Amino acid sequence: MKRASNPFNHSQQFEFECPDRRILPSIQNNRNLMKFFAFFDLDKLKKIFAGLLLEQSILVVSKDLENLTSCGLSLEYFIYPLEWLHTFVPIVPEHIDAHVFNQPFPFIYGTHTCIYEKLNKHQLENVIVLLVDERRIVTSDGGRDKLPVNIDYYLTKQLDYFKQSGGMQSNSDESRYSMSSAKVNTVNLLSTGSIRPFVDSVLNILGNYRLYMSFDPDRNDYRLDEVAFFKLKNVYTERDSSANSGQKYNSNGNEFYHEFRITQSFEEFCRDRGDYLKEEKEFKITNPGVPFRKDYIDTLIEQSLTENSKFASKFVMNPSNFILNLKLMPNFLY
Amino acid sequence: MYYNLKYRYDCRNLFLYFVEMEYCAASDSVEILVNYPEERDINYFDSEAKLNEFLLNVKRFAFPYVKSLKNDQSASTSSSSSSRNSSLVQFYTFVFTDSNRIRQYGFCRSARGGNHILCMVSYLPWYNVFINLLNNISKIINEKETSSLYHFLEALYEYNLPEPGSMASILSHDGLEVTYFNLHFIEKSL
Repeated sequence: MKRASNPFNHSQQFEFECPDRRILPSIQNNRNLMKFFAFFDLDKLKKIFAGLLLEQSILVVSKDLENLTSCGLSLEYFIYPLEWLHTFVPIVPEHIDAHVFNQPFPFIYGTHTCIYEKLNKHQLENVIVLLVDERRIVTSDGGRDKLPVNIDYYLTKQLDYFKQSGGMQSNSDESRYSMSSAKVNTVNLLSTGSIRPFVDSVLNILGNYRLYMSFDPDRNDYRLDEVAFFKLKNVYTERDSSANSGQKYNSNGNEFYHEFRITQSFEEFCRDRGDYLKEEKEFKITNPGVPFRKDYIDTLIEQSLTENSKFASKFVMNPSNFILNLKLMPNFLY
Repeated sequence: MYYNLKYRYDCRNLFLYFVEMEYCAASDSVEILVNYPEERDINYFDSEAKLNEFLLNVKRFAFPYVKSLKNDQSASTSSSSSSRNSSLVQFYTFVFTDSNRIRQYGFCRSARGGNHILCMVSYLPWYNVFINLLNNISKIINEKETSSLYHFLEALYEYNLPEPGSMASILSHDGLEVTYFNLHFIEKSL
């Protein structure tokens, strides 16, 4: 351990680049994500992803504290740019009473196998349990697929391709720095390859928020227009009396978006976008002709929309061919 | 300052507390060897009681399963508890959430069979940066005088972080005998 000291230097130096939340992590530079992708296969990743989006409780179990950390800290990357706003305790120590695992609010917990073994499994009924050491997932609902069909299909397609290409091992240093360039998709596939499809899926689920955030002149603020949101997502609501045709083509999308609508992360997203739109509106009034400086979420979503726009119109015009259309457009989100 | 932090990214200090701890099996207690800052920083802890509560939690979360695993060991001499006896260096992170929903991350570097822990608590979720930092600190502890460690911690604590995406460079001078570190590390974090 000991090392000869250098008598010519009279200082210690520590350098690092300040991480930027607006830039996606690259797998190679993120030890936690690298491990996470080694633990779970695509099917399990999709279940975890759906659980995170719909704010189901997740319990990570391992004998290794390092694995608990890797999983716990990786989970949030999957729902970027949304945030997990509920309880987040990647290591629940032994002195904490076991009743915390029983709480009705969504949580992400991590604990040692010896604590998990003593838990009453009935209290974990609505919890997705990630048994990291066994690379296994335990869910009460039998692992029913929850994601909308287009998202599920897209993830399968993107991540299968990624596995085949073996991109996880290769990397180009340049790629980490370019986020806003047009080349972003091809370049980022190498460095952020396996996390990128999840982010694109989240952006697609959110869609163009300007279409469902409407201005309320009485309150002088922007609020979520639920009807517009469901309409944008092709989801049938109770208001539609003739819902009989709707159930056929996108039934799990219906369920997903109704559940997603009431999540805290979506509420928070809408609140944040409402503030942003109001700021933009006021800026345009006081500075006519001056372009408003977009924030990174707006930029991300706009980028995602231009990638989708040529396909988006087809869904609206021809909803009954929804699934069929998707099969004809493998790169739906790009 | 602390109570006015609306978002954790507004924080301009790299870390808020550093502790070197050792678990003593004979007395079943955790001893603090080094803590920094030595004086209570009123920006983070407005009373002595809050600081003590914080330190108690740090001890518990940094040695999360000490008792359970010891019981395991006495119950059966199987290899189930081998992870604690290994000489590997391990890294893990615990998280506290305060009443303002702001998270504090406790980055831990565990060595000597999990009995010796370096722990840095920060508002910043920069896992890779802190892992490297803790390795650096461990080197200083092994190779140098205690004063070097304090000089280094002081330089880190007082360093004002630059904008996201730019390089942070922290330099500490400590008189006579010094080792040179030039650790260039890049992390892309959310």
